[in-house]
Amino acid sequence: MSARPNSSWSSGWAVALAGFATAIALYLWSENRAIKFEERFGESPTAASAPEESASWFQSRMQKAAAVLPQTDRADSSAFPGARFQGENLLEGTSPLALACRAELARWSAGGELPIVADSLRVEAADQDDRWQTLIVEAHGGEAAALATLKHLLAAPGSSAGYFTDPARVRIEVADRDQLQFELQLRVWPAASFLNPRREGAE
Amino acid sequence: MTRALGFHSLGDELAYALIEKLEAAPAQVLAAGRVPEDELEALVDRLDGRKLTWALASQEQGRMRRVLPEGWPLRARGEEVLTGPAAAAAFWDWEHGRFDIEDLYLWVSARSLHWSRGLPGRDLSGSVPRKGPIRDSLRPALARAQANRNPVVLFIEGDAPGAEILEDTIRQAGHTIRPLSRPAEEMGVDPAAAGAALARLTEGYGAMHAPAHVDSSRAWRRMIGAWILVTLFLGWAASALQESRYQDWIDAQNESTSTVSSGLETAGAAAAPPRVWTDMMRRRHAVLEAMEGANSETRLSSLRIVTDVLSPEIRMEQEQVQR
Repeated sequence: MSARPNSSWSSGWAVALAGFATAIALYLWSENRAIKFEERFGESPTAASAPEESASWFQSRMQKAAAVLPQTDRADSSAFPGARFQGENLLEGTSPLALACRAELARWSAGGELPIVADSLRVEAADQDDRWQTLIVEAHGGEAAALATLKHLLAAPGSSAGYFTDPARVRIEVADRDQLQFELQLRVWPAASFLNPRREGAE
Repeated sequence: MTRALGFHSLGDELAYALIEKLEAAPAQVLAAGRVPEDELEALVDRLDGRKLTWALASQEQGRMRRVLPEGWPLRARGEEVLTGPAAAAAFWDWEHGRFDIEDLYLWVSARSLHWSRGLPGRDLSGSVPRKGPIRDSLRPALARAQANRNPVVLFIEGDAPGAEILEDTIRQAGHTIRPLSRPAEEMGVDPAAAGAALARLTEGYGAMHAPAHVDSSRAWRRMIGAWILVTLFLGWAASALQESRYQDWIDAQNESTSTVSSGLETAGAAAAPPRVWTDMMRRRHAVLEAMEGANSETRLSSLRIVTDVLSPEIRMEQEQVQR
């Protein structure tokens, strides 16, 4: 029967190819889902984590995150030429809050290569329990590139950086000549903030 | 079922026979002929044969074929559908009472010499491919048939060469010869195809076999497909489990948060992910989604987003203009 189309050959490979394609689709869907979950919650619990284990999962994650908080060099206004810089005293020391704020400031300077220019920087101790500090950035930049940069900077960091940022206020205005003007207030939360149960009780 | 299809593989062609066997009546041939292999499927459809029982008489290198040909259009479903052409042909003539049990049945075609001794489908039978002089094919057939001067019932197909030599050789071996005659309505009917079909409709034919397992490469492909399907199922199960974990995790978190809020927090529950953290994550997500509002058709004019540390919600004002 060699002259006729080999139906068993094609059906066998059709099953294999269909299975392979579905496996790829399932994998991509699963990956996409995990990414979305991470965007929302910072990190996905593993499949092995049972509900009763979720608490310890969170604790261990925060402990791990707190341990990776980078020892960023002392932040000063030299990284933001021309910007007004206030609240530098809140960036002193090696407390988790100070480290987290310095790390976040370093992200916003990024060696001066970002397509935004900071006009003013301010650090405020806004939380009475010292769980977070507020970083206020006034900046401007070209419309498309600056907006993309802003989205990128707001999307990060997560627990892998040892702290989280939380937009308290975002104001974007179109200025002249396709320039965007920003005013951003960011709450900077070191991961250690979420490890103290007494403070949770105060929520 | 009273009808069956029988086939006899002849190289690139197939002889076929559609027969009908009513109870207490001899089998009748309703249709018969030869068809190229690649037209078999169309033939089966033409004869409305997909629902009929069927059998294939086939041999390779003098042995009965144990697997269905590649691309065979009819399904066997584990049934016994394969037989040898010699036994099938002898069965056809045996059922029509054309020879006795002590006779040696010989059918000489252009391609092979088929022989059967004793009860067709029960006792000895075989086929010897015709290569070279007819005597060289006959001798091993007679030897294997262990026919010691038994009468020979001989059927020679019209186009089979060497008939006279064959008859002389048989006589020299001490056998008497009785020509097998078939009625005119069986002219052009391949006895192996007809016998194979008849064997499916009749009890007592023991030389029918189920096809052997598929060849190794096909089995390999099936195994790969099966493993992929199993992996898919496991992936789906893991995904469903993960989904369930997420939901349980969220539920446990909400339960813990409400416990905290009502002042009934215990030391163990305090370790659960705090509401302030999940609210923060949701705010981040909401802000990023809000910023995606500017697309290629519209241009951002102004955007104001204000959030509260005690809430996952955001307040947003946005103005956009058409590009």
